[in-house]
Amino acid sequence: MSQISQTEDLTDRAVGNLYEVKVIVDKTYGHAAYGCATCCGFGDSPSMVYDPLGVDLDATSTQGVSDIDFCTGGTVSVTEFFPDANWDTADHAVATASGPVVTGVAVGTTGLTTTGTITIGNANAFRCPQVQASPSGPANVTPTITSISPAQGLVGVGTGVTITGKGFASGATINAGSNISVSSVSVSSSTQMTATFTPKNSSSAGGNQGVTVSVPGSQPSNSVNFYDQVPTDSMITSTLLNYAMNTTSNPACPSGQAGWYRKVQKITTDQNTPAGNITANGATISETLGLTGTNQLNLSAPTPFAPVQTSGGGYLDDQFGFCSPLCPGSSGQTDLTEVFTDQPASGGASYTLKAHTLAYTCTGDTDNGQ
Amino acid sequence: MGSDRARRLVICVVLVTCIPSTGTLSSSSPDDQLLRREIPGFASTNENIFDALLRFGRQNHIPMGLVVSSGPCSTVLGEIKIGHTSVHAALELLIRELPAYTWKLDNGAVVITPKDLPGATVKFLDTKVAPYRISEDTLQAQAAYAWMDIRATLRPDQGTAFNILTSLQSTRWPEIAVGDITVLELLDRLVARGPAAAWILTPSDDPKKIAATRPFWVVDYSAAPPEKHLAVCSGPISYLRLVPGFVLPQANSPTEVIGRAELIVRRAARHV
Repeated sequence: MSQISQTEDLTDRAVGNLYEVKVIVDKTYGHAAYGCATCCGFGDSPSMVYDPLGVDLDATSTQGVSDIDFCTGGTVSVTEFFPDANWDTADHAVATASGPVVTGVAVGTTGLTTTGTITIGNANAFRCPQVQASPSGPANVTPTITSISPAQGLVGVGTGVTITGKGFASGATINAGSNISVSSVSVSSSTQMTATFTPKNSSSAGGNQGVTVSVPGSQPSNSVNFYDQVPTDSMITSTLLNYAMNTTSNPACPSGQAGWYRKVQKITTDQNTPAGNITANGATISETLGLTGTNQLNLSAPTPFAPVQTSGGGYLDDQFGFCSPLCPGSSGQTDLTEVFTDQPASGGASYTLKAHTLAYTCTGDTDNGQ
Repeated sequence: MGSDRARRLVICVVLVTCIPSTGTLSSSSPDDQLLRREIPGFASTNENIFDALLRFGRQNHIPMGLVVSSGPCSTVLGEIKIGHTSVHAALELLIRELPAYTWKLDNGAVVITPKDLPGATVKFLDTKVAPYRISEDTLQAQAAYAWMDIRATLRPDQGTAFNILTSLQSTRWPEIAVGDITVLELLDRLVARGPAAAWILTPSDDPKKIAATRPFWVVDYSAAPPEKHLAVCSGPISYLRLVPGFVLPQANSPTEVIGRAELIVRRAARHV
């Protein structure tokens, strides 16, 4: 059992006399040690003592569960804590009580969902200190995941994530299922972990993947989803420039030619509905343009361009254009089909994104289907 | 098994002084300063010779032009270690592994070409380009615009469509104005600026093929992290395969690779 300095629950001042009971519920479910943090003394020098109750896990006691009261040296029992025996499974999961009979709960047999209010019949038995207490003691805490940030990552690309929650401890492990490779796990504190998630480079690895955290000797945490993004489409987010090209424009056409120029910003999107932007760095995007139609402007197709890696939020600039000796003065049109292909950085799979058809004339271009 | 053995063999060529030059270092022009510049060393293991040359250029900020035919792309080096020496001496050692090639300094770029460059490619590189201005952009984009200009000279009856994809964090290269210079000078001037770069050209003996599709590529050394296409033979040449007219043969068999590695070992014996 590891030593954990746990102050979070004990400093929750919301419920006064229920102070200790919350400690029991939060800190002992499903673990090899449980008990109360009791108040020894009151006034000038109150202190908190971890005061375990002597009931074994999986054991059933027909007598009141009791142990030494570390404050007084006497005996303290569950029935003293809860004389009306209303410490039951509806309120917590450390033990069940029926009259004086208290049963320890086996590890993992009961799901703890809340730290609900428990009524203490003898309110005077405990006067919780009205001072800040930061006790520590031998206890394992079932880890809890509150959030994973970012909550999504691209298949085939490592994404650094921060997991926020509580109950994290040295030796904690992360289980993200077979579709995500987890590496570089680090426990920053009892409330924060970091790791690198690399979803398998396959479209079949897409979608929500349950993630849990385990600390030695504990039950796994709750499961929180991490979404594996599969590149599915590209989307123009803004048109930056759009104008006629000639020999004095920027960029310029060669002497004797004119044409059209358009610069847009794009981002690739995932398979979700509605689609989410793929902001991970390291997606390699290539793009090809093929001439289709009658090519009335007598253009040659562009050379395939060097693949580009996304960075800084996943956005890419895309410049389209042409210069033709037939412009200006031609009403002719040339159609080009643009095909985006994504190749995530760490694997061999590639994904062909939506093809766009561009129709060029000497006075502009249209982008059908963007 | 033989291949593994050959690849484990190590060549160590440690130079502490400059190898005598080929007679081009007598003055102190900027070009000569480039060749005289000292490098801390260079190592290569089981790497294609052209990829090694390009990496050498990138690591040492040496503008380069490579005319790469498909054959030498299957030339895989064993292990080479070059100690502290001059750019000139290191180049001499590396090019020695390409006996069918020669190199020269041209307009600030180290240009490496086959000794028997096809006539159509020679003519292409000597083609005069009309005055033209290439605006500030990424180097890849500037190369695309340069090609539009070159093509207007080669095929004045046709236009050129362009499509340029750019990472937002790519280095932007300054505007460049050219006029009445050859294609070779234009390529050299494109790469011999700023953080330096390399141009790569696939030779052809068919002028129609050269005019139909852009036969050259540029590699921006400042791309960080180094992009996949920084490898010559697995990058640009493989992309040019996508272009009609550039069908390259498959890589040589492992046996040829072994033979090459053994050759390097024998040469090492002479150096050590």
